[in-house]
Amino acid sequence: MKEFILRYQRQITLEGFGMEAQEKLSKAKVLVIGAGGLGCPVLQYLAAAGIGYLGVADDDTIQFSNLNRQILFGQEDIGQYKVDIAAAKLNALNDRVKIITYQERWNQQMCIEHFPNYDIIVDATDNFASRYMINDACVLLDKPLVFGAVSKYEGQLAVFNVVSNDIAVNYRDIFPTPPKNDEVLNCAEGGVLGVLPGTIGVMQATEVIKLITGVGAPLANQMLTYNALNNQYITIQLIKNSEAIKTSPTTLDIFMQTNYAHLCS
Amino acid sequence: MSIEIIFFGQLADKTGCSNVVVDNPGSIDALSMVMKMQYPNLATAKFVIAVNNKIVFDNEPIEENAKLAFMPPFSGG
Repeated sequence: MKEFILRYQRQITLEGFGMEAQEKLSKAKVLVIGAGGLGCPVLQYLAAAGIGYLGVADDDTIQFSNLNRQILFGQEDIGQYKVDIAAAKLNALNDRVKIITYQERWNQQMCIEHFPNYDIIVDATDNFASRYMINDACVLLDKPLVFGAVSKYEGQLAVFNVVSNDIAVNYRDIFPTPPKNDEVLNCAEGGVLGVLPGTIGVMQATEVIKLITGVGAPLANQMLTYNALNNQYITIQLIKNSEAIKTSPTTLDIFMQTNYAHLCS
Repeated sequence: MSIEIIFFGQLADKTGCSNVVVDNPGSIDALSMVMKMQYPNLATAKFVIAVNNKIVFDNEPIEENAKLAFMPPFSGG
């Protein structure tokens, strides 16, 4: 108990936070899908903040080109699985956090099997197929989703499936269908400033903490866009989109039959 | 009277500018036509439009001096 108070002293003493919020964090279960540029800072700050139970999913190994932004990993970790190194680093940071690793490419079956065990899902993936799949599963299974995405010098942040003013929007309310291949650049083609997913990832971790503790107002029904080049932050109000109902799977059976890889190519 | 449009992400590459001030064409549909004529590359881009920080999907009128944002989806992580 003494260690608990010492470790989290700086946030326990925060006005409006206190022991009550800290205990909520220690009971919370958060799943972070993707342990890359966004996932690393999300995981690091959530482990440091004292989240009780942290799921980490990624099927990739560490590459040299990851190191400019994936800050949980070092040169000596090249070739190792991201989830293994992430778990070791997070455990060294805070061994009171229970870390569960999934060294697999996240799929539809895993959404249905594992989402019910978590309070909040964090989308830290790097492709539209995963993003649409995770979004649709969160809608069907009624899970709050903290979304982050980056491109070059810009990032987007949103909280989906959280009711505010009687509505709860999701990604399909913004973009009902995925873009075609020629309509967007991926990170490898377009590049990304290393620190940028750090900025957005830390903001995702902040939204997770706000959702769990009830401190502040989460970014529900809004999307924030950040441009690192000119320090422009724009937050837009979102509304339900009638197109989204037509393009979203309405049952888990239809969800399971949806070919996301095909949909997003 | 004019309106200002900010292009986000890849849209700025497609138009060659991050923002532009144009005469107010009066509605979202009219603006879409003007923009696609002025920037043909936008025809192959996916984006949503926000007017004064509110997302719009229908052919709504555009107020004078409105600030618009054209926002594409990002997938990177």
